[in-house]
Amino acid sequence: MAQTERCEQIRELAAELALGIADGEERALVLEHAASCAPCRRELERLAGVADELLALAPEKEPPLGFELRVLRAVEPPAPARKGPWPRLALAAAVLVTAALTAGGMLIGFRDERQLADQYRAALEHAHGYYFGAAELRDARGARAGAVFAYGGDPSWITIAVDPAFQGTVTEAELVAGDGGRIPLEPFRLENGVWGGALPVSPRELVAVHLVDRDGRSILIADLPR
Amino acid sequence: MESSDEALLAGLAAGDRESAAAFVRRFQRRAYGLARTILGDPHAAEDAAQEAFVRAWRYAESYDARRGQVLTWFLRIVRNVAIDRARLKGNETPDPELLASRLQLEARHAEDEYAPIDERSHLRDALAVLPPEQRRAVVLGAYFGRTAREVAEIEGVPLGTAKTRIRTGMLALRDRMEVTDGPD
Repeated sequence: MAQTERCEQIRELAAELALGIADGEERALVLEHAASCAPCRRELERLAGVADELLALAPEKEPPLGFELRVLRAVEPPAPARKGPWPRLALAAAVLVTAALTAGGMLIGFRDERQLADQYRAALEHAHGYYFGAAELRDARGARAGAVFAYGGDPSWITIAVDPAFQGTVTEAELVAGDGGRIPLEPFRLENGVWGGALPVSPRELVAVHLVDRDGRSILIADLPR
Repeated sequence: MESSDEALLAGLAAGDRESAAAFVRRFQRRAYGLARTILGDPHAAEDAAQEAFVRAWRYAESYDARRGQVLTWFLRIVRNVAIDRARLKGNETPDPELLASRLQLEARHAEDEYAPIDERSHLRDALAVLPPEQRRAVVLGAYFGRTAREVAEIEGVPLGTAKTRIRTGMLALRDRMEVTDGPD
């Protein structure tokens, strides 16, 4: 089959995406196309395989004495908060979404959780959704500093709300994928403490959202529920 | 019988101490070696390798076997943590040729139990015979997370040239690997 012009454009960018160095816009472009084009998807997988094998060429080295013990201490229980449920925030976020989709926001007074769950499902169906998650943003000391809401559907989107104390210091936002890869949200600019926009990847591929200061430090982190 | 990488990762995620210890023992030389390759400094590399294990534990549930082996998934985490650390410290631009030559010299002596030796040594050889400007571009991207724009700045060439070098180099490596693998 003759390659389309779009395929040519995508293949120009595929190597950079495979190496994890494509910018957010290019990444979104390639992934969107590859989702519906098997030859381009296959090409991307091949190049990703090359990138993986390149890393595996790095020589092994014996770490310093005590390394294993230090790692095991770091990963010992108690399990991280991420693994626990997020019922209150998820429900609160469901109210937000459903309210946005329902005239007059009539759900504010609902106390029946089953009814709320029905509304949540209806909201998902209304927007072709398959995922809705919410998580608290926390600073380095674990204090709450805002919230993140992520929606998977058509389109997928994310909304980030930052408490006033941090609004002046946050300059960028990055999505963290399951393999640790970072995807910048661009352009990122808080308006009255809130930023919202389309998600370039499925929220199911994401594990966290990092808000970064002007020195590149992750100062607020939200671990997304799975 | 030795547990599979996938089984150890599942055990790590579930908080099983024996699995966690086995996972760390199995991958620590890999993790530390890659972090040293990227960061150079032993202390920074140790910190980065440790952080990579913590992330592997936290993100273990997101591992998808259809997208590759546990080893390659984990090495991507190590790479990303090390690159973050390097950027945070404002590390100077590394010398990609020096790294490429170290991959040649040191890896040849390393035992490699995770892939047929032919496949990996073919990739190593393919990297060695790439035109130097393509090799530098690929190494800067793969190991140091440098974008095409950054490669262009480092090499003093237009952005389009940097993009072409990255792409052409990766395609040459892909072709060489597929010759080794045989047809699909």
